[in-house]
Amino acid sequence: MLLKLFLTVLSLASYSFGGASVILAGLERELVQSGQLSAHQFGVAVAMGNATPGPLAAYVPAIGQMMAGPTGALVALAPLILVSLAAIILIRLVPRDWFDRPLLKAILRGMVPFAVALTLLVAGRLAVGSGLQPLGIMIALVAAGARFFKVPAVAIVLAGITVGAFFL
Amino acid sequence: MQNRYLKIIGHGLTLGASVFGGVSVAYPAIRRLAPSSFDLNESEVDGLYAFAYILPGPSFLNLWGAVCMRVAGLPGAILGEVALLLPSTLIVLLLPQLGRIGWLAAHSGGMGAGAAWATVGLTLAAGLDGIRKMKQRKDLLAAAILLVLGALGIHSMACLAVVLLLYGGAALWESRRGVSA
Repeated sequence: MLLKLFLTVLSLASYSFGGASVILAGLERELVQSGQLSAHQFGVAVAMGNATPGPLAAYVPAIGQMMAGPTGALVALAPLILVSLAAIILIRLVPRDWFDRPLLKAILRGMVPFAVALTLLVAGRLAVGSGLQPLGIMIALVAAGARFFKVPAVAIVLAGITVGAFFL
Repeated sequence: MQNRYLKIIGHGLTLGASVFGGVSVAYPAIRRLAPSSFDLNESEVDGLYAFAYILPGPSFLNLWGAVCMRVAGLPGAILGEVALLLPSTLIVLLLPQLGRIGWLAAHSGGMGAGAAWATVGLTLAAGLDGIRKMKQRKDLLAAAILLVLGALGIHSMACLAVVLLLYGGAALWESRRGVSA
C-alpha cells in the first residue's frame, strides 16, 4: 500500500502543472473512486491540510496519514519533494528563451481551465460522496461564500468543525 | 556557508509555520526577505516565481526550493523544502491525537463531517475563483468541455491530452497562418 501511495503521488505530482488542485483531483480519483478511502475520510484529510500553514499541498501528507499513519504521511510527502527538486534541477538545463515560445505558452495557458475543471469536479464528487445532507450543503455554500470574501481557509475549516460537532 | 544553511532552515520553518494561502501569500514574503537574507534581488525572485508556476509540483514548494537552490545549491534546496514542509507535517501528525481526547472523541464524527463539508466549499471556491480569473471565453469553454469529460468518467490524463491538442493545436495553427501571411 505504501509503495502504491508513493507511486500515485509521484505520478500525479509529475504532471501537476496548475498546482495543488491537479494533485487533489488525481488523488480523489485514485483513492476515493478505487475505494481505498471514503469521500468523508478524504474530505477530512484535505480539511486538515487546509487548516495547516505552509504549502496548499499539505493535504497530501494528511491523506497519507489517513491511509497508513505517520509512515504514510512521510511516504506521501517524499514524492512532492522529489518532483519539485527534479523540476528545479531540470529547469536550469533549459534555455531561457524556450519559455517564450508560443506553443509552450499556449499549453501552459491551457492548464488553467484544466485545473479549474478538475477542482470543480472534485468539489462535486466530494459533495456526492459525503451524502448531500442539507446542512452539509449549507456549510459548503457558506464556506465558499466566506472564501470569496477572503476569509482565511483555516477559519472556515474551524467554523465547519464547530458546526459539525454540534449539528451533524 | 553554515550561516547560509541556518538561514535557509530558519526562514523555511518560519514560512512553513506562518503562511496560510499558498504561493500567492508566500511570494511577497519571500520577495521581502530574499534581498536582505540571501543577497538575491527582487527581479531574480520574480523570475523564479514565474518558473515555480510552470514547473510541476506545488508552486510554493517550487518557489522556495528554487530560491534555496540559487543560494546554496542542491543541499540548500533539500534543506529548504524539508524545513518548509516540516511545520504542516507535524501539525498533520499531531491533529489525529486530539480526536482521542474526551469531548472531542465523542464529537469526532460530526467534526469530521463539518470539516469535510467545509472542504467541499473551499474546493468549490477555488474552482469559481479560477473561472473568475479567466480572461477569454475560449478558456471558459475549454473548462466546460473538460468538466463534462471528467463528469463522464474520462481519465484526467485523457483530459490533459485534450488540453494539449486544443491549445497546442491552436498555437501551431496561428503560427502557420502567421508564416503563410
